[in-house]
Amino acid sequence: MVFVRTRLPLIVTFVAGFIIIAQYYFNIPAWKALSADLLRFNVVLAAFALALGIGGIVRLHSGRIRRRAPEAPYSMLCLVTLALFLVVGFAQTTRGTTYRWLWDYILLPVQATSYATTFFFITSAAYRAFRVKNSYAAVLMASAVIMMLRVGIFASAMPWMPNISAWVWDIPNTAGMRAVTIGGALSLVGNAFRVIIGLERGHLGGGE
Amino acid sequence: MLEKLNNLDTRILYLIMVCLATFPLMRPIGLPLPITEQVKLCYEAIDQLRPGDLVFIGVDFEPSSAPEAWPQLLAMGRHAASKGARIVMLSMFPGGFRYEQQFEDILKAQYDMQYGVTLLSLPYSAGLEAAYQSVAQNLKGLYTVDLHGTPLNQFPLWNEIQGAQDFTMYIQIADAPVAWLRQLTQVPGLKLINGTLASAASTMAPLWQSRQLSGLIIGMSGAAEYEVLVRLPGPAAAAMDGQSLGHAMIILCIILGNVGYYAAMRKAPKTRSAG
Amino acid sequence: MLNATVGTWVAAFLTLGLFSWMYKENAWFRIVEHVFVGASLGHLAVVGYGNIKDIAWTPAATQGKWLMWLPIIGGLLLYSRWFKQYMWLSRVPMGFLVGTTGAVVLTGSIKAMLVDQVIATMMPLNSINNVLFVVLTMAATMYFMFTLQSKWAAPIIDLGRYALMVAFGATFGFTVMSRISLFTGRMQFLLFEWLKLTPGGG
Repeated sequence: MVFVRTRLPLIVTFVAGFIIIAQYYFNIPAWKALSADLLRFNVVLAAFALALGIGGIVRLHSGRIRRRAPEAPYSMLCLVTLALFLVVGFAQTTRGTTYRWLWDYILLPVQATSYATTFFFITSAAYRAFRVKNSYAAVLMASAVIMMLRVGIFASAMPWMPNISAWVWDIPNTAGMRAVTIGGALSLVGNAFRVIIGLERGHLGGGE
Repeated sequence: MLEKLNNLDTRILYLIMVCLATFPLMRPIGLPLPITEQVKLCYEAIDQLRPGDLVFIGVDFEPSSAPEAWPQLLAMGRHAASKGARIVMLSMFPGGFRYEQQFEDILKAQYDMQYGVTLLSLPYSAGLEAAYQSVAQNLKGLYTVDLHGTPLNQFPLWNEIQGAQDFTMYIQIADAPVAWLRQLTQVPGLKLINGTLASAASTMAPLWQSRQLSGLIIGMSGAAEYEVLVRLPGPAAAAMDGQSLGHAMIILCIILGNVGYYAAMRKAPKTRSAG
Repeated sequence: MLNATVGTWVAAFLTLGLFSWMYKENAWFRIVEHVFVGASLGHLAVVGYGNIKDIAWTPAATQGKWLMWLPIIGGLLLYSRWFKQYMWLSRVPMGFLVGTTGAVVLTGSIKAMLVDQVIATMMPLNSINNVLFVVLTMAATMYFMFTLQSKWAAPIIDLGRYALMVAFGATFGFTVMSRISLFTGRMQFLLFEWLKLTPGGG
């Protein structure tokens, strides 16, 4: 039982990862076909995983309703909305006209607006948080301002500004981001390797 | 006096920002729009498409990024359609399906594209990077039905395609800046074009410089520039006036905040350190 | 037509409810916030269901592709995570998911994000821009070598830090652009679709 609970998941992680890495380096048709199947399994499992968050939310909000907490009416609304989308969605999938109405007039506006509110946060951040306290912050601010001056009024008032902005984007910005990209890639490769060989086990979760 | 700038109610700033961003929508100013090199090269790459060339369009964005991404899709997608390219749309984001449907309707109506012969829409596929790798290596194994639930083997276009290697170009309108490029760059001969959100522009800079991308459109301003180049007015160009006024206000906020901060620091009584 | 009109008013109610938080926290905002959570999760489950039906269930149940029962069983086992005493059942499918995703990311990153990036940095040093670019790239990369403690390296690492500050500043500048665009999109909806105003007129 210990084998099934602890060793088997690590073996599956390693074998699945190894097959996909090996097909990248060795051109063996049977190996590539097996890898293609494994990727299709990954897509299906990822689709199942999309609904995992529902368990936690239902537990949280149903607990509030049971306890008659002050937020209980809002929790009820959340669960009713969830149920509405699930019932209509499972009956029609995303192809049905009723589901499309729900998506167009309920989900789309809230999703779009939730990100649009960051417009206000960035205004607040520019006013309250952006303090030029040293030379690094000054360079950061200068770079931000140069990027913002490349459009509209500024481009017509200062015709040379888009060229300066393009140079800053092409040379120092790209150089800095290349270092971040290379560092990030090394980190990704290292972490992926650690997961595949079983050194990282956080994804396996708790439990006995 | 200047230290009072440190204590402005931010709701006043919000109100000013809302007015500056909104007023030009009602009364367009018509400010000039310089065309950047990335957009010019993107335009030239799509302009070189020949009738019958197969083009992927990745509709990989959610409603949260639609104000930037939808104009990019309209501009580049319509340009590709006007060159007679055959288009296959797909999406790896849960919200992309609706934009695929809307763009499919536009292509059928405005460019007389025949669904199943010169146009195809594929459904959402979970797994993100695993799905992109499947597209690159095993396209026909991944999809069995189209966006509308019809078996794909009923369409002549799908039966003609062997895999991603048959395609000339992949136009990606992306919320996930790099995952798609990591996988699609492995397909030999496939030109990659990216319409990215402005917030991801710096992330794409090294990939642009290394010419892993044949074209790069950044945010709403990039879409507006493309609309000017293809002479198809769209939602992006109309919104650009508010953009530059908003930038001016942000720069002013930074200046006001710093002036107020340093004025307050200068006025604050100097305290002795303990011990 | 009626559905679209009713829908537009519902969408406007939800949009203004979220914006109302910028004035202060209120019940209108909390209503919309909870609708957002429920709708988002519901939509994820629905698209997942559609995906499973198309790629796995239909081939397995009606086309005799028995191999697709494996991910279906594995996917159902994932939901054992909701029950603490049965959580261990989800480890095999979760391990498979993470292993395959890790392998995909690994193989993609090595070429596109590492090798191609290093190759692109090796440019001829025949112009000031090229020299500056190569020097700044190497300096910025050296900044991430946290175990390097050397007096001669300190000025180079400092130069790299400045290059990174330029990159982060450019990111902030573009992010401002992005956020203004997102807000403009919602205003276009409120003004032109909800209130039916026309640009340049009333």
